[in-house]
Amino acid sequence: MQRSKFVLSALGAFAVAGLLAGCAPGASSSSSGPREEASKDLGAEEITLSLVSTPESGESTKATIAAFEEQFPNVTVDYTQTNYEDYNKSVNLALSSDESPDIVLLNSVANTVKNDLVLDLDPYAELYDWADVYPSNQLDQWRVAEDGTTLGPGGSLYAAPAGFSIVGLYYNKAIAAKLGITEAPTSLDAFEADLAKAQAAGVLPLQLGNSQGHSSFVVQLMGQAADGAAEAAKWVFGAAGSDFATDGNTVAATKLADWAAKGYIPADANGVDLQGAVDNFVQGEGLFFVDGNWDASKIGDGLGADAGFAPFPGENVTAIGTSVAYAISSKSEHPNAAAAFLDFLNSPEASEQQFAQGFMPVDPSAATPEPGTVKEAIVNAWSQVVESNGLVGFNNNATATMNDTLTAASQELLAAKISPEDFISQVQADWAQTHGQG
Amino acid sequence: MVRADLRNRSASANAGASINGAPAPASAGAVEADRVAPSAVGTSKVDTSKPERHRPALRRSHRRQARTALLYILPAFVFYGLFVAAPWLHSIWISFYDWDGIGPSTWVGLENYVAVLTEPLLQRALLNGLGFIVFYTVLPVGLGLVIAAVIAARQRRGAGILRTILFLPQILPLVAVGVIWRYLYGTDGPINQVLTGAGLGDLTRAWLGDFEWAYFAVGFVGTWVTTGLCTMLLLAGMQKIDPSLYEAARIDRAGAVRQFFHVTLPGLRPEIVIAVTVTIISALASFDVVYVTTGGGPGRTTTVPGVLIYQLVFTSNRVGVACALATVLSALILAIVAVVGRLGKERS
Amino acid sequence: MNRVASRVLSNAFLLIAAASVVIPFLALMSAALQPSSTLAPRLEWPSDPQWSNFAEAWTAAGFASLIRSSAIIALVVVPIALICATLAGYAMGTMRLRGKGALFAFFIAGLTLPYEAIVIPLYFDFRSIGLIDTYWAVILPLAGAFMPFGIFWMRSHFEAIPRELIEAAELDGASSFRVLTQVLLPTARPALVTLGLLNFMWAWNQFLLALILLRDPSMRTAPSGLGTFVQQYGENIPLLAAGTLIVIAPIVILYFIFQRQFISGMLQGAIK
Repeated sequence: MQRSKFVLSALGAFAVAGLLAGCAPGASSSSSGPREEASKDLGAEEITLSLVSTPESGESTKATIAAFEEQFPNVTVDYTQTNYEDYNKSVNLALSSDESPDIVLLNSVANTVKNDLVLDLDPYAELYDWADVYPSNQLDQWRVAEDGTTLGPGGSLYAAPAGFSIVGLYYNKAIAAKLGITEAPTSLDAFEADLAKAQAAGVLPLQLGNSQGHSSFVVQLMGQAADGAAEAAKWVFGAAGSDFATDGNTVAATKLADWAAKGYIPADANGVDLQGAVDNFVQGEGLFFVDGNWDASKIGDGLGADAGFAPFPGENVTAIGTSVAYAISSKSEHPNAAAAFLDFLNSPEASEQQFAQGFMPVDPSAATPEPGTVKEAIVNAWSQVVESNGLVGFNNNATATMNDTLTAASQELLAAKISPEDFISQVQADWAQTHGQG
Repeated sequence: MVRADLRNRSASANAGASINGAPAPASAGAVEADRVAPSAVGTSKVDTSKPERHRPALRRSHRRQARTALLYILPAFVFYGLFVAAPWLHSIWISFYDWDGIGPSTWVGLENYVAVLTEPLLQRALLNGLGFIVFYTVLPVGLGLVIAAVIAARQRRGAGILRTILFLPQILPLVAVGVIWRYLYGTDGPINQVLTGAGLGDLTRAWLGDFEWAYFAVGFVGTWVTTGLCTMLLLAGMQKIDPSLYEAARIDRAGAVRQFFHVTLPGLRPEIVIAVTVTIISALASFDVVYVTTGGGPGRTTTVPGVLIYQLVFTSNRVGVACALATVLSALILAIVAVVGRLGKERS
Repeated sequence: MNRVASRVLSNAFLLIAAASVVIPFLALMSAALQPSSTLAPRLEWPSDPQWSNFAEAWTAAGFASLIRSSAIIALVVVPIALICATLAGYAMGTMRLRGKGALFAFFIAGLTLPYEAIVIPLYFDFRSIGLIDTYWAVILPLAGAFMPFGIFWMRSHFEAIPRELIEAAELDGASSFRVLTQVLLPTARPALVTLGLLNFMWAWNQFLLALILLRDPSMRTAPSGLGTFVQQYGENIPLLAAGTLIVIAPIVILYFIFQRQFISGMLQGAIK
């Protein structure tokens, strides 16, 4: 009798403790006290801001911080970094904790804005005239409507861009020359003809590493080159009624599956990650390779003058690209100082650092590549894309789970486990879960 | 049973009484003072012969001892209760809510459990985990039986070193094991190099990126880890079997194989039950190796509950579903362990 | 004839079994010593072993801080776990207590509980009380999780001690605490050493708790550091191999010194 009483009461005590701790999980209110008025005046008091980022943009951010601290001597910025995947997994939870950092790198809007974790920057955009500093489509990626999930013009601004990434087509000029190809293809037909030529000559046509799902870049580029950037951006932004099953995407998925079947891409693509594919491409395996400018230095160093870069071929000149953008935590105690740092991101000093790191700078005059290098080719491609208003955000960022979905589905597509139609419907199903049925 | 119990009781009653008879040393602390039962003094001499008369005193002394015992158990109970039992209950509690880990939550009853049992991805993870039992349990126990039988068959030089080596994978961090095998399975890794060298270049593949092979490749890592433990367990069991049983079997003209099935196997039942229990737990709770080698891919072929729980919390922000999956996982383990234990008992 | 054949055959079989464990390590070692630019190290002993890879991996992944974290966690957990398990195991093994069976079952149930079942609430609860990104976030749950095995282990040790020994001490007027420290503990040293080694190993090897409860890179433990090292240097096999060897070295060295305790501990722990 006594024993069961003891054990029961002990268990009961813990059950109660458990219930109290979590009564309804997450019920604790987010304390949002009176916020300081938006102002450029940072005062003279010592202010310490904490900033979290990832190694990809780490060096340029650190250098930018140093320049910023010189200009604002009473502000100190503490920098911490976490590798990309872990970072994305923990950024929301870090923002919602009591030790939230002040400034965070925002790789995608995902659930961050919906949960009010970052500040609406509109007051600062007005204060600092960001609308004049940045081309409008560079800010649209970070504008979010009131539902917290639909992006694009009209919404409030939640992040300020520092530098831009661009995904396009790298090619190996030495291999191209051997095959009699003198310039980068500009139409899908020409591209396919080049792929066939390479295979006939015993050269791998298209280098690809898909263990982290990077073939989704190929599908997106092919799709938006056919459908046009505006149409593609709507889907990425989560605009109501959009559907992934466009003509362009359907053709793209079908072609990719077809190329896999024909052996245009490595048979072991699903077992190689992006860095592995870069290594292989640098070693001369592959005529073409779809990747972002973040690998420009590695590819440029490896292939030297043989490295080429162009926008992905198709009817429209487009590219996938997003900005390395920073947002301010809702819990920050010094939003004015944080906003001053965000504004500093478009300064000449910061632009120079961004470009040195391989990102396209906000201030175009900072992009001064050495002639004949792959970086010059990237700057040219960038200006082409900007001119045609062809920059589209990553499909991977369309929902919080889209990256996982695209990874799994594209691996199945390459292995012929699912049809191109299934691939498209899986992707759309994920999208619809967040943005509603079309 | 009853008798032993009685004897035990009176013995300790005696002890209590005697301590009381001789004054406690000054150094005795509060705990001891608490233990001593003053009322036992007078009755101690008669106690053993007339149990019914000392009952009340005995009970009191038992209560004291119980209080002392609880005091000793308390620290362990606090750590275990606060940081294992309470979180486990809390997890069950969260599993009834729809919660993204950040905002407010809503009570959804059993909806998350419906999701666990009906959503293809969640089902897949559970099935993948269950399938790992083949690699973590069936193969290692089978292999372990053979290896242990061969080792036990005869005294050998180097048997000690052999054991040390076979057991080694068991003590390594599983993350490191994952990294080692990630390298071995690599596209240009040693396994493919050996295959190419042996003229079997056609068989090479990206083992961890191959839809047909990744699951087996990852599962086999589990076999590599647990075989040593199973072997040692079974070997220890074999050495406990009464040699006269083999003697008798030999008189019956049973060959080595029949001896194995009629003497060795039945004698090993307890060890087999333990090996099966321990390895099934590690199969279903596997996380480290999958996280490092494939992260659950290609496609969803190697997604196990642990990896999915991690993704559900940190990528999809479906904390309630993650907790429901964790609860189903621990219930599943408990049920299987109970069944295995019962099977082991029934047959013997 | 037959006997010789079977002897050769069985020796060959055991050799294969041992080789399948050893060869992955040799492959890892040889990979770790290749020039660090080698993308696909051949399976051969390098002509010019690059011992500097270890130094490079050490600094690239910041192993000094990773190993320090692991060491702090393990060295704090082990004494806590040993003391709590000894006290509880002593009471469970030698004292009278109604409901002992149920209490013991309550503890033992923990042996089957996967870390997955407790790590999510731990994350959110610790976050709300500010324990996330402190070593306590891993130390406290580990100490709790080690209780089932520890109590079980110490209880069976104390149960095996002849009751007369305890009774004799009690006759001399020893308190229960003195019985424990002066009579029982001296005989318990081997059991404690084994339990301490096993707890150290489990603490050192722990991945899931460390991965989730220590998000701050500067707090990471060796295994979780290795987990992220893979993501960043996954293609640099020599560095990755060197890093792996660094992480497993402490535990392997301990194993070779105390192999008897490790093996017998894990076997008896399972059987008892």
